Amino acid sequence: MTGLLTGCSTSVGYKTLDTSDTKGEKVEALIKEDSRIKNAVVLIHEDRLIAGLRVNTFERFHKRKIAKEVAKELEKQYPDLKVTVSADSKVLLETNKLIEQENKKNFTKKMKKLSALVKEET
Amino acid sequence: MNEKKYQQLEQQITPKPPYVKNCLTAFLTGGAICLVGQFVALFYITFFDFTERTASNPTVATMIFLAMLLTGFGYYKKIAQFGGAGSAVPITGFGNAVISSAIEHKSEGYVLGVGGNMFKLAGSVILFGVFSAFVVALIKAILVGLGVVSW
Amino acid sequence: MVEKRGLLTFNSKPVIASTGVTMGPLEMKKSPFGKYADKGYDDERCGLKTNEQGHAKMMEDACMIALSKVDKTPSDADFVLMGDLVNEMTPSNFCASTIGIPFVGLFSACATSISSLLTAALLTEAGMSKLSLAGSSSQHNAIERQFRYPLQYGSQKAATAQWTASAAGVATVIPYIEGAPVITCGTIGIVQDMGLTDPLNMGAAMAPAAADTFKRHLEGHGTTLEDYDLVMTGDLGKIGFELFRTLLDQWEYNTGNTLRDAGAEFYGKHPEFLAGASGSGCSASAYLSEVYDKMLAGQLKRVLLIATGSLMSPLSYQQGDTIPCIAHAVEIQMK
Repeated sequence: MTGLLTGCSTSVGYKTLDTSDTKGEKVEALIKEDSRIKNAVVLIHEDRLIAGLRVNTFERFHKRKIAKEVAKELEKQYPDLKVTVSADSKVLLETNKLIEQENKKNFTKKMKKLSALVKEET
Repeated sequence: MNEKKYQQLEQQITPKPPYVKNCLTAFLTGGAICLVGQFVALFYITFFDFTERTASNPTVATMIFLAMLLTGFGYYKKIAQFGGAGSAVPITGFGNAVISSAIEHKSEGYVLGVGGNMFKLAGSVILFGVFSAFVVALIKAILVGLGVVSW
Repeated sequence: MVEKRGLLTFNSKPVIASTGVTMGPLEMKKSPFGKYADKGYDDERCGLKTNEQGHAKMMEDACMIALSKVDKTPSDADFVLMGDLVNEMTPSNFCASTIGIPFVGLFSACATSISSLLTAALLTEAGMSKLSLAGSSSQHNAIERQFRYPLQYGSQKAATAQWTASAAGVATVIPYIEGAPVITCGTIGIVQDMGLTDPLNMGAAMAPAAADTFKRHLEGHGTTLEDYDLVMTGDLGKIGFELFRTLLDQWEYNTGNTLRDAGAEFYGKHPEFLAGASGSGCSASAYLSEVYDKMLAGQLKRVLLIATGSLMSPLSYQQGDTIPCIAHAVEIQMK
């Protein structure tokens, strides 16, 4: 139950962690602009970007489309980054956990695993 | 005795099903079952490597397992008497149909009894479910071919 | 024009010398008739492997109890007339196999309790039988499975649904002796079909049959409703019984307090049994326990028992056919 409760705490405010400083604020600003997104957690490390979005309740029906649009925007702006954007709550949860851990060493491994998880269909 | 007149009399005296109450209890029961399902899904998402998308598999399996326990211990039919469609429509209702038939026919052995009769009630669900999925997919394929929608 | 067919009069006055009534665990616990039963069981299968075997055992025990009360054994009995609701009446067949008495299986659905009694009375009247057993039985699990859904299946039952009772009732019928209730006359039912198709509302389908046999019995034998201390139908259930009363009111019978229904009363006030009990064991056990005991005690002097049966099968209603019903009546007097 406590895991579920801390999951709810990410509903307050956006969170970004950028280990390479430059892009973090811009990415956060881009996502904040989109009024359909309630909350987001972004993690940028080396050449990977993972964004977990929480979409507004009544737009949840289009959440995959929204995630795709954001991903396209980010890929256009930062072609050198491997971008994974997902509206799935798992991604939000895991990204948030990673950021709070602050153990930079296994960031890449975990981010790779998350990206693979998003691609799973069944 | 006139057939028509008797049928009219029967209609008058036979109590009508309490439709509003039944709808309400069905709503509550179905909602409660789905709430349990949501918690189960949340459990799998939080503690295992499942996304919202992929968590439906273990969730369904868990719900059917719960339906099996409730059916075997004789509680599911009590929930059903209260909830009606609310307990029959979710996946747990389908599980109950298959499991209760399997339990019932154990006395005739595993092959002809359990195996042959297990889908007595659920068979039409499977048949018409698969058929309607085929029809819907066919319609979508045609629409995609015409360029009206995309996959 | 008074219908004169189907009437039986027993001039030699065969009597019911004794009865044997067995009931399942639920009935012993929740039925007001439970206290009159001769034997109860801890489980529905009577400790046997299948429900059908338990069903046969209940009937067998009822036969043996009825015989032992008159100090007789199965080899003393000339005939056994019995039936039940299971396919091919196998529980009755296995019971007959165990007790080894010349056997005629009868099927009148839930009216078998009376049809077997009338047939035994006929054999006794014809001088061909010195001691016959007559009765019927039902077992909840075996019959639910056959006619409706698997036991644990969660289907919501309507207020008209009835609960098949696990019970057996057997009577010994012998030529006239003093001090025993006499089977004076009876009426064999004519099938009534009012075009009803709902197998979950059997009481409504059976009420016209009960009303028709009631009318034919009174008119044919020249009696009035006031002649009887008790008129008891078999298993119309709460809704069927109300329809029966309404029909009788429409025919201007003064229904009053002498009408009762075994099925409607079988499980007392417990609401989970919905419209009441059904099954061929319901009427048999109710008639041969409370009614018989009260007659012996002198509380009831003249009773009319009308058992009803719905003559359908799971196949017939799935094929869209209606539900034909029948009711047989027997009149018993105690001097």
